[in-house]
Amino acid sequence: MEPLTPPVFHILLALADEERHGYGIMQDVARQTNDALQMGPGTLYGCLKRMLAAGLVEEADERPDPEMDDERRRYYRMTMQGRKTVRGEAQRIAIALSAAKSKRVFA
Amino acid sequence: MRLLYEIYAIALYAYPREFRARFGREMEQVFRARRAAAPSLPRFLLATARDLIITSIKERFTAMTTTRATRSLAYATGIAVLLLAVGVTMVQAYVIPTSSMEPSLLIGDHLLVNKTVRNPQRGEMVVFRYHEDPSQTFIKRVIGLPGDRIRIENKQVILNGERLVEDYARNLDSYVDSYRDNFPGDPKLHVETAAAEMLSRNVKNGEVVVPEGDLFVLGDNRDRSLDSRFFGFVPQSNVIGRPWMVYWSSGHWDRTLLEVR
Repeated sequence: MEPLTPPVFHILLALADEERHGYGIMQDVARQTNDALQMGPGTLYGCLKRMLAAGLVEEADERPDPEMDDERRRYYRMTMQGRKTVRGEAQRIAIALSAAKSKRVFA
Repeated sequence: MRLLYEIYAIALYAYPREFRARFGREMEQVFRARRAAAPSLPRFLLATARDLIITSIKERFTAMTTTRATRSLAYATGIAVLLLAVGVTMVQAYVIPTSSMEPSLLIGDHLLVNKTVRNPQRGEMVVFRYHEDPSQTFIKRVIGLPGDRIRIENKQVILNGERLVEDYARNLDSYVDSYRDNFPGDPKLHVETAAAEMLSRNVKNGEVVVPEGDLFVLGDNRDRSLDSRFFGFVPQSNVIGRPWMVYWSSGHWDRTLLEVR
């Protein structure tokens, strides 16, 4: 399997614990990466489009976010396929990380 | 801030229609939420503009080549256009209308011509634009290159003082003409202007001398051919190419894909 692109991987991670709307995904990705990955809306929805087509995520319902205004927002959730994919990618990264440690390039 | 939101909504037209229809409203929501949370408005706008430009180009490109079918079609069209372009510049098809090159080429032969050959050698066939009427294309055999001396004695071509062996040529008449078969003799009949010029300028010691930049050509069917004897030299710049093969011949199926020499 091809390594996932960073935006796809982090979007999947964002959806691993709960359904989120687009802005919620962006905020969670920023948290995950210490603000290193700041996706614009074009990047986010371009990825979501491809992930929907690949069956990694699916649309949940549309509802307002209680922490924001009362606008209805489209929520996204991860599919079983998406969960398998993100687990595989996390394992790949873990293996790469332990290799980096054994070669002393990473503490 | 309403104006800013409206500008963004208009900017979303940079995306393909389907993409905008599906995600446009959500992107506007995200834009507003991010604007509200952004510490610096200029930096936010700059980042958003950058995102919009890059991803709209990307989405437009994927929209164009979205399905495997359209992509294969796009590739196939590209390859076809390329082949056509190469074909038109390098190969061209002609049909033989007269018997002047018999027995090498027959009436009804459909020829492919290699257009990359610009300097045909002695003994090779050549396709060229007729200098008296450039809309016509002729095919003959190169007998003389620049500097060559040519005469015909009793139907026998003498090239640079030596009898030319021509297994490709044929003579049908027993009648010996004083010009056609004893060249360059006295043309009792009318010859084209260029031939008259050749006879007055390029004949030396009873031989035609081919000038620089010209070719002297003859038809293989020597007694039935309108060639350099009657229309003069062929400018090398008029050369189109060298016949390559008969790809089809009406009435002669056995000549299909026959290489011509």
